[in-house]
Amino acid sequence: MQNKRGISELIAYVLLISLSIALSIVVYNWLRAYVMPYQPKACPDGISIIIKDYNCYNGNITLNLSNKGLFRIDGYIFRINNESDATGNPVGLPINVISTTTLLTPLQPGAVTSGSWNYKTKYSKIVEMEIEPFRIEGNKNILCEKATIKQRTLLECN
Amino acid sequence: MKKSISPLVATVLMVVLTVAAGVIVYTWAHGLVKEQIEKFGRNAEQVCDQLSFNAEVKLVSANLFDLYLINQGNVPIYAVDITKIGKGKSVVDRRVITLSEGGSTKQTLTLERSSYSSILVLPVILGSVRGQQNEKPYACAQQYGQKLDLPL
Repeated sequence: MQNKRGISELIAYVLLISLSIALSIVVYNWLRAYVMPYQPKACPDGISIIIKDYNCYNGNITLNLSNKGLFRIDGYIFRINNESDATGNPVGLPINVISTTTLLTPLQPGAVTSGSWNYKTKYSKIVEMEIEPFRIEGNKNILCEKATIKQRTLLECN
Repeated sequence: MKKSISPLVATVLMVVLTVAAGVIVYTWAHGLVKEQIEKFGRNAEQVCDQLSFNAEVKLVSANLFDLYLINQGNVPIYAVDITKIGKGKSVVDRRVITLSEGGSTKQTLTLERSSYSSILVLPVILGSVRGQQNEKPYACAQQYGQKLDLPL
């Protein structure tokens, strides 16, 4: 009689412990995706790029870009808009990617870089341009969407 | 006097029945609980917060519109759910666009301007179902979308 009572108590303990462990595993897996520390890769605040000047000549556009921020910039995406209304105002967004440029040497604060691309062949004109800088972290381009700049072009890019 | 089943058999029966009941309850509850979709090892809902996109709609001709989209963020956008909103009605149209980071596209929309006054553009990301290999689209919540009034 003593032995039989002992076995059932042991089973009760085993069941209790195994159920507790199983339950904690289930709860952990459910909450894991919510509570695990997550540091999304993002550009630091203080990234800033400006179009110092640009020039359209013979179907090519040349840009001089200056880093006005506090941190280095590793490259930039150059988009243009080639659609305009009757008054010459841009229509839609600059969705045409002219170039995704990774700089050979990072653009340090205060430094200037330039680039030249042909636009006439594919897009015929530029009414608006957009520059979105990025930084490279772990072989991945991290876009700095907050530092994106947009600028209208003058008639010379038509 | 009849002998009852031994306590050992009774215990085994109890454990087996409990496990069986547990399996039945799990199978039933699994269908009720929404499956969890993850991206970058995170819940997809939280990844939606990292999205950054720009959208604009322009009139091309009667009932024909161009939707411009630029993915300015660091999360690829798999598709967009375009909800056409009119008086007392709304229709959702999913467009698979596959916009990588920095990508852009122009989509043509055909909708009756007299029936609809605006559209809501909701990004859809591609995630993986917890514990499975296959990928599944996850439509981000309304707060991560952009509502655009249709031009006249």
